[in-house]
Amino acid sequence: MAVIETRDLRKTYGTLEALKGVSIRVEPGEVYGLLGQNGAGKSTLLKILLGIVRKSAGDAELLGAPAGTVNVRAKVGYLPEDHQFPGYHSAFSLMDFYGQLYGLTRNERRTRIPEVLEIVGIRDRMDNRIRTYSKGMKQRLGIAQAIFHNPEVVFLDEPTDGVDPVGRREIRDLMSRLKGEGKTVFLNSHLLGEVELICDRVAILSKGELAKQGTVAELTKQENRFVIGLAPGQAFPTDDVTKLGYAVHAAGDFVEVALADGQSIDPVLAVLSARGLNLRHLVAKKQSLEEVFVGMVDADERPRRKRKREA
Amino acid sequence: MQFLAFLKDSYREARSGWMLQIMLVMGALLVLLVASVGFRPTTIQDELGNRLDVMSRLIATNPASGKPQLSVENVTGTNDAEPWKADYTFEYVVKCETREDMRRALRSRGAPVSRTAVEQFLRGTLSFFDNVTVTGGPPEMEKPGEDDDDDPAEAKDGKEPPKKKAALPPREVRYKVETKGTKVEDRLAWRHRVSIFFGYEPPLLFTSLREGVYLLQKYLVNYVAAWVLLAVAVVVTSGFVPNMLAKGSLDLLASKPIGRTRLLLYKYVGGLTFVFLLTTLTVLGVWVAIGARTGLWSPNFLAVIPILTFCFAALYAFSVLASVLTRNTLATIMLTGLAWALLWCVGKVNDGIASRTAMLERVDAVPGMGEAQRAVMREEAEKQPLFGFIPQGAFPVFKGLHFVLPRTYDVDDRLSQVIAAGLLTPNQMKERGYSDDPRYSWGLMLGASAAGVAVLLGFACWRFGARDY
Repeated sequence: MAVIETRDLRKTYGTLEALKGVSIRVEPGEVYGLLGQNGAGKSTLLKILLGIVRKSAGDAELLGAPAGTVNVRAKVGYLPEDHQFPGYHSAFSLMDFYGQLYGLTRNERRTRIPEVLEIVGIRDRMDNRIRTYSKGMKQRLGIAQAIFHNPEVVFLDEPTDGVDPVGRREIRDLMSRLKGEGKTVFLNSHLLGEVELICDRVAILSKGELAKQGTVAELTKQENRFVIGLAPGQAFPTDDVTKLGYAVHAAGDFVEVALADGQSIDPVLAVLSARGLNLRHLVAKKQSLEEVFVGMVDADERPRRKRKREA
Repeated sequence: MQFLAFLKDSYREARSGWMLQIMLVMGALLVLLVASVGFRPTTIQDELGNRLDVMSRLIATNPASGKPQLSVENVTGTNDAEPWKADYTFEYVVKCETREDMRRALRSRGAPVSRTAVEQFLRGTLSFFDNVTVTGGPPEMEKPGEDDDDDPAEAKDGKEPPKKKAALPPREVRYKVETKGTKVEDRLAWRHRVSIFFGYEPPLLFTSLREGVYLLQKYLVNYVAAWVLLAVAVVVTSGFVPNMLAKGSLDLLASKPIGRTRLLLYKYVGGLTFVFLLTTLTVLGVWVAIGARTGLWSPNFLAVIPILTFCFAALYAFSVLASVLTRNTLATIMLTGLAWALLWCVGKVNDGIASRTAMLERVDAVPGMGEAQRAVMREEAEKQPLFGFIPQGAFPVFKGLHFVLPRTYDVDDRLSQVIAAGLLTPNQMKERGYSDDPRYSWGLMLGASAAGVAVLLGFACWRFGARDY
């Protein structure tokens, strides 16, 4: 059973279509990343899953039940983006308040709250008013309140926002720990490097539509491009390879060979062998998640820019 | 558990803005102010002496008055322990600088100096005494002397024989005053000297204990303090819901395992409980202060607690609805203030309409009045706009609004009657029009108001539940 599943999920605000039939599936224990530009529909999707926003059409299920129901929310933790904690609470009293909403007993709250605040690194300040906290501390508190009731699924919307590099690493470690405990983590972040490091699978939303979805390896893999490196002092036979119908580009000490559809890398390797050249490096080329994302955005933007120029 | 969590959260929120502390301090000040009011059984020396002293000073400002000094001396009573059961004798003393001044005082008629005038004055002033008799005083004080200096021309004409010059009255006159019994039945009806700020006795401030406590409870507590408390409570609680609905705040709460309707209702009940506790503390404090100072422990006064909370419940329902619609604290305060004014106006106008209807019914019931006369009176009454500016055509609108809106005006009006019933005698109740049958039953007032509150909250919950945040 999928932990999260949406089918043809749609949301409209007046005439604006925020989600145009999004279908995703998140399996138990996965760290799932959701990417997209501002306004792509990420927060809307997340809020529908939590019942904060009503869907217009389609299906959304969380832990096998319709998304957003009260019972399901008891098993879910959520760190919203740009959250505002009431400044009159201390970290402890806020967690105590939320703990009561989750139905935790007084003893459970007394035990669990300091533990979780220790994990996120703000236990020393747990009795201070939140209004005295830095942005990073508030973010840590946000993560703490999302995980302290031992949820099955954790939704984190920009969890490293405002957190220093050391804190980011700690948050990544925390997510790995959650994954190790069998929790499902749904991550919404602009920091693509982090997503690439942490997430098992990633979906990219663009203008309310699911543009791509898959494992990080799948998304970053570049079809029909190989990077080749030879032994020091040896020159790559660019002309011979070009004559065979391959496109060759220099890439620093290496060369990049692009294959047309139906072509294989083997004839290139045969040429190198025939020339007595020593192969030291041969890999199918990959691109970073950021390159994938930016390339996709550029592709989306190109027709619009063209129309603008023409106009 | 969730409700208690919200209650505690509301408490923290109110405390953080210092509003809770401000309200507690205001409540404590009210209790202190009430506790500072004292009532001391008056004596004739107090009551009459104080009045005569003030009167003497006022009269002295007129040079033609003879500047008589009025006072009371040698007061004796037959029952010091229960002064309302005693017979009294005392001397009413009039003193002037000269005999000429006394004659001027007698002739100016500004001050009660003749025996007859003294008797009239005392019977009016000491109206709670039975059988006030004044005796003594020289005969020249009975009839003002006629002075031929007043009309010298007449004397010179010789048309009338010059009148015999009257003898000058003495400089000092003492009348013996006796009272036999009083009209006062008990200590509560006996007049008391009122002191404020723990001892200061303003001049001429006398009232019966019953009346004094009634005025204190009705005007100071139920009118002034209750309105201030309600206004402050509206301001304090107006931020509760908008703060919850603020961007970044609602997501945190809405993602918790609690339905939106329950979330809003808990916020509502939390605010209500907060005001209920504050009201209870304040009213109990005032009740204890009055009881300790006067010995009057009227339980009816405690009805202020539920009634005031009830009135706030109606206002807070408007506040919650305004919060959901605007998500803005300032707008919520303004809209709630407008709703409060609307409730008061609708109640007042409806009361006026009902009074006019009752008056016309009384006209119909007058025996011996012809149908034509009745028709004229009815027509005249109907032509007059209510309060001078509300035409009869608008009556159905106000009655309709009165029917659907919470009836805070009626409930508050009834509270005055409840307070009065706990203190005043049947005669005093009748004098104030409280002995008539109530216009609306408690059931109708509370039921209709609760229905209005339920509709307001229902609409707020529906809007809150249906809206995307």
